[in-house]
Amino acid sequence: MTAESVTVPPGLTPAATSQPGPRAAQPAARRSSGAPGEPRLVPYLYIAPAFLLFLAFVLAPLLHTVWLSFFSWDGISLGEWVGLGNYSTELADPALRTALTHSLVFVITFCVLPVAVGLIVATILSRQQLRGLAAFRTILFLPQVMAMVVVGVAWRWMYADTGTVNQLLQLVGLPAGEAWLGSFTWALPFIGLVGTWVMTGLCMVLFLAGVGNIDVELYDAARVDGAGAVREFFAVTLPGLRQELSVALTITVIAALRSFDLVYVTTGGGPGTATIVPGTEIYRLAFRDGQVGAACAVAVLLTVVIFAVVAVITRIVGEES
Amino acid sequence: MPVFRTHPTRPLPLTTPRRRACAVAGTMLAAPAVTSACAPGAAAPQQATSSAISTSVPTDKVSLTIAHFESGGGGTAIDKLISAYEQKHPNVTIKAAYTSFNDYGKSIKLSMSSDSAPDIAEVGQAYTMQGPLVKAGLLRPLDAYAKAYGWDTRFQTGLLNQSRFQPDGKSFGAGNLYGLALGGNMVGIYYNKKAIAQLGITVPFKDVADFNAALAKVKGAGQVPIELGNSEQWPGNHVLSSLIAQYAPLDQQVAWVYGKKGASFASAGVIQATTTMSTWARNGYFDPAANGTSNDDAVARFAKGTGAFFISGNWTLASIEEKMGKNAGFTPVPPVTAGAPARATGATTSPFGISSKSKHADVAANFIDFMTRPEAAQTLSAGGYAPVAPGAATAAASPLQQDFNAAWSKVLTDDGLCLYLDWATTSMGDTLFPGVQELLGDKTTPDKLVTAVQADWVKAHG
Repeated sequence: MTAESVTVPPGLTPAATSQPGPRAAQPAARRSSGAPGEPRLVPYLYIAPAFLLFLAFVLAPLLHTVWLSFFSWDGISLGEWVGLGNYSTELADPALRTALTHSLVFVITFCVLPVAVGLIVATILSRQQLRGLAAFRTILFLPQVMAMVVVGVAWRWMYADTGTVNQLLQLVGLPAGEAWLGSFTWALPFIGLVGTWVMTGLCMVLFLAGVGNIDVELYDAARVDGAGAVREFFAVTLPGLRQELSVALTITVIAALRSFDLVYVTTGGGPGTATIVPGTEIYRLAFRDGQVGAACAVAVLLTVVIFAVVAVITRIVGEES
Repeated sequence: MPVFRTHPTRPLPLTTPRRRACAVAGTMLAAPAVTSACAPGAAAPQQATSSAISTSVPTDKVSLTIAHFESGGGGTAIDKLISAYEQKHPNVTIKAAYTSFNDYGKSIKLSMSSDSAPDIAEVGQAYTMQGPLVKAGLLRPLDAYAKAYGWDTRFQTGLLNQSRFQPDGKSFGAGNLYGLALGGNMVGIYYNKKAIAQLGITVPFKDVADFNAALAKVKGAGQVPIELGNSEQWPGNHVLSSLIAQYAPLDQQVAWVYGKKGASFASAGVIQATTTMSTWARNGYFDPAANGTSNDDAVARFAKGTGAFFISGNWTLASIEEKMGKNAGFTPVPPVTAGAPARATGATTSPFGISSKSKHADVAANFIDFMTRPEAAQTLSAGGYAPVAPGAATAAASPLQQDFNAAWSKVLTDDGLCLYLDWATTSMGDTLFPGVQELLGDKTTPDKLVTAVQADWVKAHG
């Protein structure tokens, strides 16, 4: 082992370097096995407890669901092997296609809108010193903390024909008086807007934090080069928020595609089939229609779709080094 | 300065993508061999062909559990009957396990297939609860007990048939008896006495045309004729089925609900009934916010004066009485032709069955018999159960309850209970209820709705 020289960081007084270099006396680090640079096994012991929980409560049920999806099963009698039969039936079912189309509306309201609003707000506030920003951030984040069921019940009351939303619309002079969750046209977008309310806070908080990490000198450099606000946004802010954007898009897209509790509590999929989403279809198949295998098939299909979307997002937006 | 080892820029995958794909494919190909030997669920156990039953209670200590979802008055009645039985038979302890209706339906299959299944369980008729349990062999046939205790003479055949199932679970209304119900329920018209008096409307309605005229009068006076809260999707279907009960012959409808071969929903009577409801919707006879209001909220609105009529069953009676007191009345849905036999949407309440895993089937049957004897009628009717045994004594009733009782006994005498439409198949609720919402919102026609419903029926029954 060669003695390493201690380079003095700039600014340190000469007196500090008169101490004996601690590195010279250190014994060689002991390795249990493997070539230098290979991962050791000890770290796996550190993650073992959490991983075992993950295995028992996430991975095992997931694999069980995949296995169940190959059977026609009502939940108690003996199941019947149907192979990919459930998948072909469900993919041909127009109800599932309608449900997926509806979840695309959710992708716009849960994902695109909150991210856009979050980016705009973060950009505007990036150069200001807002008093009480901490409190502001806490309040904005509150919808994320509330259980979706609670959010759904509260908004169900607000959307009633005599509810808060109609009262506000009346103040502004817009047409009001309809029970919005009973409307075949408006129920789905209005449930989507609840998602916007829930997700916008999260995006704003993420981007505000991210913007704080962007080096101020970059903005000054952009100014000097003559960039306006819009150019500044695309050249400095957006690339600097790459990590946060990836996280925000991933979380919101997953929330949009897997949403169940919000729809179940507000309309249950109605009126008619105007607000059915894959989540409610899975619930219907498993618990009302006694087709557990078909429900599992839809669940697996939904999982695959979500994985694919998240993979695309991570590939396009994720940090490249 | 120490040299820090930098991590590689891309984390090494645990297996290469190609290796992973092969593993998955291999599992899927091997799956049939493995899984046909271990499919989910359990086959129906061999039915112990009628070991001798006994109608006497043994003297050694016996402990039973009874699972149910009756809340409020119904639950209290059951508790009272349990204490009366325990007094009569001190060696028997009965534990009641209540679960709310929503949760009960989701967990009953699991609890009945476990080793600690309740001895007695309330199992709703048709394919949501009774059907799968019968198919899995988890409910014990009660025909021997029915004969021994005289249930087949105590109750009308039509009422007992609702709890009969074919052992393969594919159709019901005939076959083995799997449960006995404590009471009945029925749908009718609640009315706001002040509102109709002001407009000179009188009850009971002679026929459907009479009711139509009343609705038009209320609408003409600028009020909401029928209050309805249909956001949960099922209340609207009771309006439709009440009309179908008047327009379509009873035996035709009952055969269709029971899944009898060749039965069809697309009959003239059904289409007429559906058209009537559609016309009501287009004429604005329902509260315009119906599809976006919950049933509870609609009851509250009706009690506060919105809507002259509220079409619902006796499960709402206690709530309406509490809110409206003497201002509420109940009248049956009128027949198409004045003087025709009484017909209504209704059935027995969910029957109580015995688990095939129970070690004390005889005692369980004895307790079920105890709950349904004429001596128990007083307790049951105080709990809100409409009596199903003829001539059963009823507790002193409020005016609203008396209105209902009168309508109920007429329907029983005329054997006019038309059951519930969503009993017809496992998925009928999910086909019919959204369709009724669409009918109310003028998004579908009577023909399309009837076709969709029959298509669902054919898919299940062929």
